[in-house]
Amino acid sequence: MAVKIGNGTWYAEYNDFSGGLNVEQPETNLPDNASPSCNGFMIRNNELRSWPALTEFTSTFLPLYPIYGVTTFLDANSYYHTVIWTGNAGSGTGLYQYNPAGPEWDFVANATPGLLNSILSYRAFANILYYTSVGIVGPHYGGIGRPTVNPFLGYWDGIASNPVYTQTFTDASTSNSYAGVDKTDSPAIGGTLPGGPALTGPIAIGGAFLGELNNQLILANVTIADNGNGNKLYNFPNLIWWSANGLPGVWDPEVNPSAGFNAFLDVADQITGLATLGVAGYIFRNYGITQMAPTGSEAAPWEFDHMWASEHGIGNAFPWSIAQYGPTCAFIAQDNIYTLSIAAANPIGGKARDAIMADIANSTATPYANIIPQFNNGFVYLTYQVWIPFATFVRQYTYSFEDQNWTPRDLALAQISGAQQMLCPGNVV
Amino acid sequence: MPSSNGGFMAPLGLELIPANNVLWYYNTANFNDPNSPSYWYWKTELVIAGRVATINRVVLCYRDLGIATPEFIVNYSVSSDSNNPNTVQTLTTPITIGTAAATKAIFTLILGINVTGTNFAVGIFRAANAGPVSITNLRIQGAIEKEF
Repeated sequence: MAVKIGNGTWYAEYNDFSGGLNVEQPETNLPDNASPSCNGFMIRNNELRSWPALTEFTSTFLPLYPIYGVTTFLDANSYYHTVIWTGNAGSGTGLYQYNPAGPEWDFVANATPGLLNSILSYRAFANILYYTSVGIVGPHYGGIGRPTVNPFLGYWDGIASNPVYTQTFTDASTSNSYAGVDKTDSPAIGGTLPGGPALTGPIAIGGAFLGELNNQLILANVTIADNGNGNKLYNFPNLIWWSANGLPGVWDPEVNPSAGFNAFLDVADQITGLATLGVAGYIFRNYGITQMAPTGSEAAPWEFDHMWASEHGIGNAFPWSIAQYGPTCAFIAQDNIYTLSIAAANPIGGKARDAIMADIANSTATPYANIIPQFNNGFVYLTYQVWIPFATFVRQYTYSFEDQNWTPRDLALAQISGAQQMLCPGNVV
Repeated sequence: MPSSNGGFMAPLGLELIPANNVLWYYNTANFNDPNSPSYWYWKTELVIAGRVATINRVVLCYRDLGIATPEFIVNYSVSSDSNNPNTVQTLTTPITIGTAAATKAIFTLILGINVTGTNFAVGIFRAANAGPVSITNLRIQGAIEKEF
């Protein structure tokens, strides 16, 4: 207890702030190190310090278009490329890379087969940056349905002048995605997909999420476009599709049997993220998690086990809240915020959970999150940051893995003309 | 092998936050956000439940990151007798801390105030662009009724 009583006098002393936000006990009954109401103070190294100034990174030559992703990858020549994808640049989506000599953002090329209208999922594999996007239905998009998209997988190696987002097959057909199936095989593949759609082909494959395990790229929450039939779309929200082992350009199981797909028809929800821990992959759904483990078999490369397949359960309820840093994966479920280890899901919402969940419920868009190991070189602060958009600001909740506390901080970032101010999470580049 | 199309030799190591068609970062050389305020309330202190107490001194230890002008706030309850509902009152005291030299040293501010009541909720409020604040220790002290 902070309060000490003397002979008609009293004092209270506070030099520990590590409890962070606590809204789940009466203000009079809190631990001395907690706050019932706080904002804009960080408690790194146990000092109660106002947050660093949110400052504009160089915007030279950056077009005024929405940003759908930011990351850095290392190319085969050992050069780093910090890239962003923006919507509505020319006829498609612009890929820009940071040029420290300016400093400025240089336009690389259009990066998608059509206009991008949803967040990207990206993954570097063998010094090549792969990226995909299909619009999916998040909790805040209810009522407007799944948006019309151009499902695709693209890549850029940091060396060529242009990214690649189409593929021409041996039968001379071309899919509007680097992940595709040629015209010859498409009817047979269609017959084995859920519902057995009659496909003309070639087909373009895209996913809401992209992962890698066992030297195979994995697309999850898949949409395909029948490029030979007016780009007719087929949505498979509980399907994953993987490339051939070591061959990220081969997605046709008729060409290489280590490529393939699997639909989880026995679950009631959709896939909302991927993570890999140890030798296993984890497929997150709204209300569940499914483990996938490599088998070593070419024809059946994965063994799938639902950790639970109940109607409701711990899952990644908000598609873009899942984040991973090394062996730590964090995500927001219906009832709490969790980290996932190989053994179990561990709640971390603590005494701030109710405030976070109330803000998510009242927000204007789905939350975004990421695990941030450092703010910059030399300023290490391993945190899970959750950005919750409101009309006039973005509330950032920060969880310190070291101190196991939460602190909120409002960013003075308002919507512009009603357009959502955040369309992807932050990232360390 | 063909040469790279752009790129550089070391990653930036910087957190970038995309919003409103702009990429933002946290400038860890500047803890004075010009656009967002900061506040922190400590737990509410009963001292001894049912007894009226006073706060007459505040000792604030802080790291000197530059001149800041936050406010020290006390929310407290008063009632005319023990059976009446409380009313909540607030004492706000502007303070100035830090030096232009931003020495990074820990300094101490002693503040005299006079508040009598119960259920003390003390806090610190920093308006946007009111300077960098970094608190290491807070002590509040005063008197309390000896008899109920």
